Amino acid sequence: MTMAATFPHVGRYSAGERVALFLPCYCDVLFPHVGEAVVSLFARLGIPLDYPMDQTCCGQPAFNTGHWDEARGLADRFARVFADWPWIVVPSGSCGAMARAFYPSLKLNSADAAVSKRVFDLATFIVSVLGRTDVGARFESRVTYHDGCHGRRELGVGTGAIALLRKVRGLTYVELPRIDECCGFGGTFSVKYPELSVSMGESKLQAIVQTDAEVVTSGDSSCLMHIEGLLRKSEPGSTLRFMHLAEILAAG
Amino acid sequence: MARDISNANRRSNDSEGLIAHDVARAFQRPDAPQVLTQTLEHSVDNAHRAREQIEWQALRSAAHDIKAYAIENLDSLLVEFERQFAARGGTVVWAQTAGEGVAQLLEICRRHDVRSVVKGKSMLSEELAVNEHLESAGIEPVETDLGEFIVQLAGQRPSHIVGPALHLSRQDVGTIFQRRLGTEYTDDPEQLMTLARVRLRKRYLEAGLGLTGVNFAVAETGTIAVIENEGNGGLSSSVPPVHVFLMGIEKIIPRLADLPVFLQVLARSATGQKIEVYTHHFLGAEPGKTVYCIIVDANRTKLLADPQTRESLYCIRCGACLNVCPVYRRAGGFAYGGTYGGPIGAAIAPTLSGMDRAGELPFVSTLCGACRDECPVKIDLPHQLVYLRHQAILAGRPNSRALETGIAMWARAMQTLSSYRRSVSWLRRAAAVGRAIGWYPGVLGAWAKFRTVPPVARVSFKEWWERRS
Amino acid sequence: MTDARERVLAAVSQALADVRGREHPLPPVLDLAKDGGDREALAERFAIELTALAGTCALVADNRACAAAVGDFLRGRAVQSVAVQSRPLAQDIASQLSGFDVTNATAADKTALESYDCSLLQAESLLADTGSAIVIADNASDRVLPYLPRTSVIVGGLSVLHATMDVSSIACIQQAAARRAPGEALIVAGPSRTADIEKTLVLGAHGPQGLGVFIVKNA
Repeated sequence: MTMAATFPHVGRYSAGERVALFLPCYCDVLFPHVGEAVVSLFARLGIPLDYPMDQTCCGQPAFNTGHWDEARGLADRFARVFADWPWIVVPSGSCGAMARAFYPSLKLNSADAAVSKRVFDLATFIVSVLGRTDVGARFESRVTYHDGCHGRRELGVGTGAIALLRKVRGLTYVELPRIDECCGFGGTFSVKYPELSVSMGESKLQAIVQTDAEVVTSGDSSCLMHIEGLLRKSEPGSTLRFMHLAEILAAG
Repeated sequence: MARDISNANRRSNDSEGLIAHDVARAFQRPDAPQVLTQTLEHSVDNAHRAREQIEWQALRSAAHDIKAYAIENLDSLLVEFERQFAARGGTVVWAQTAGEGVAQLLEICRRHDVRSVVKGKSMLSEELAVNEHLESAGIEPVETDLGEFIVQLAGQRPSHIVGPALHLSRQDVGTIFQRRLGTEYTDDPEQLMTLARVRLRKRYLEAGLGLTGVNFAVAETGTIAVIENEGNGGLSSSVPPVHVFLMGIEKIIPRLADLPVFLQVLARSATGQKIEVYTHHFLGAEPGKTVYCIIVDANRTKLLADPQTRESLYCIRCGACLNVCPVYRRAGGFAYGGTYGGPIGAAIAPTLSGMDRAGELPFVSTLCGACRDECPVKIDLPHQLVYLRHQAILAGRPNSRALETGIAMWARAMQTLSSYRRSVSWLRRAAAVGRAIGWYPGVLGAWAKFRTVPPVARVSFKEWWERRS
Repeated sequence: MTDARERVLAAVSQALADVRGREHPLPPVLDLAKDGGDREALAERFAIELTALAGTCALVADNRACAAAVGDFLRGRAVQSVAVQSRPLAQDIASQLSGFDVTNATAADKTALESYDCSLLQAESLLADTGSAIVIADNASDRVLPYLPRTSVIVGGLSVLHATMDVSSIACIQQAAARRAPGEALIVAGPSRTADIEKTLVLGAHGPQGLGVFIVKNA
């Protein structure tokens, strides 16, 4: 699927336009370095990046567990918080998919609903909106990429992410076998059905091992948190590193 | 229907299988054999290869559009089908409930003095528990599809739409045949097939009635298409003097010319073949033959009435979504506790069997979407599941007490920046305690049992950003 | 339960009340007709597909050559008795078979057909890309014929060979439906098979274990 097919109406970024960073709530408290990496990357790219402090959450956990009224409240709030920015970038395929693909299910009023089209996951923003695959990064490692399901299936994230990784100097990209298989995180699924979740995560780890990669990256810290969590528990001595795509692109 | 609370924690013996509580438990102990994953990976790979040779995307779009039209015009198309079927010597009978469907079948059996019924594969007959009701009426049901024959002998239920006995090894089958047929033990599939063939030959020839399902019912001409590989459907329908089709209202397609679209996507999705061995098009009752079609609602009109769930009626029962589902592969068919498993089972069972029995199924999913990618009629299955989760919440059905409370509280906390910050402080304190004592309560405990818990950052991104400015 | 019909149809209509006037349109018939090219090349394709399904295929010059080829095939499978469908090409080929016990299927009771070694059927249409044949059986005996005997032979003219299952290839079924023919139109692709035990392929499940299709150039 081409970028054009995923985003038929996407425009191109015009110099000087301000971009808002939408950082997933769990990244704020658990993985703030992902946000820091995006800030650093955008500084290198010369793109003015704002962070609307009022943001809290896109509402995905509420939506996915069937609490659509609560989710709608958060979606409306999201639209208000980000109302003044023409571009909203999120380093998460899952949250990006919520805002772009699933907000319509909540039947927001038309003013709020318009925010969906302005939200982009990081990789797609750089490749399709900025129109570049080389962000001047250097990262010498053997790297494999995990394509989170929502980003992959709703937004086509992987295509852009892999194109970006291939242009990172010194980086050896190796494709993950059965890249289309879910890692088993699935939000509350990971704690409601932990046996299934862990079994799926272990299959993902087996695929990673097959690549001989030194680093596993992804556009989704939530997936990485689950896979890494499994590995560190079962193999505390492992030297495998888990990094968000933003951290690699900001490197060098 | 009031729920019998005395059975609340026991496995129900009726055909509907496990009740809601047990369904959750069944998925918490996933125990499908490893070979199931390998088998289904193979099936999916075959299906993908088979699709490379056709205009797959054009065909599935066409299949989706034809079904969309058919479902939205179901009332007029059902009437037209009935007219055309009757004009060719068949008799249509109607049933609003499962009970009525069974009653109609029993009445037909009575009318024709039927002692035994040979059955081609029919999910709907499972749903209606036809076999049990026939037996109660003193009529012997004989499953003829090899997989169904095996599970019938074993006293089990089928575990997969297309391969009912996939959960059994060849050794299991050999033992079952030895015990139930009195044959010498063999685990060679060819010999086992021959034993079944010989045993079933007599049954076809003596049966008073053949019962088959319906893959597609053409409104324009009253033609019914039934698709299979073994030939048991052909024998069940052509040998006995009476043939009964059992069909859900959603099986209608508008025109005979629409069949090639479905025939081409069905096999390539179900089994990875280009076409199944036998595609029967039943044209009309030949001299000496009596033919009936029992059209059953059994809560399908409920799926129809909700515009959001209507799409799940497009399903052509290919099994592709089961094959690719990471949950199905690990938990197996029985965990779903009813006739329909996998993603489509989770999408339709809450409505067909009720929220009490099946309302948990839509939650047993990561919503990964692999099923939607496979579906030959492009049903947005993840959307069906998340919508049903919403319906479950509206119906007051708890997710699980702790999680339920947690999510509601958290969603409220997210409504203002100040309550967000308070939650973060709380989380920091709770995490520190958890790390110190090495134990986490509730859902965090479920996480921590298998995975390390990521530390809460000392400086959150918001705090970092504020310090910068 | 005569009112079950009314109740079901009322439930359906009511369920669709929100759609009225806004239904999806009836899509045009999708016809993926392919230019098959040379018919003899198509016959080769047919043979490849059918062989992959464990069937046998031969392209023969005329009815006489067909009868000879069929005879060889039957001897190879130790067939002695043959039951023939009541269709002209099948009947003609059958009349030219020698050394076999040949009967019209319609002359036998349908249950007696179990005792015949082989069925001889006529293809109204042949589909190259799936190696399949369309057989129309409009009476009780012809209906059981494709399934009961252990071996099955299908004869068809090259002129009814199509590249794929496009609308023209199923014209025979449409015509049969239009004239309200009874019985069944069967598309058969190879011998019967099952993989219900551990996904292991076994031939000759309930239907025939061997299938031969003979395509006659000048039928």
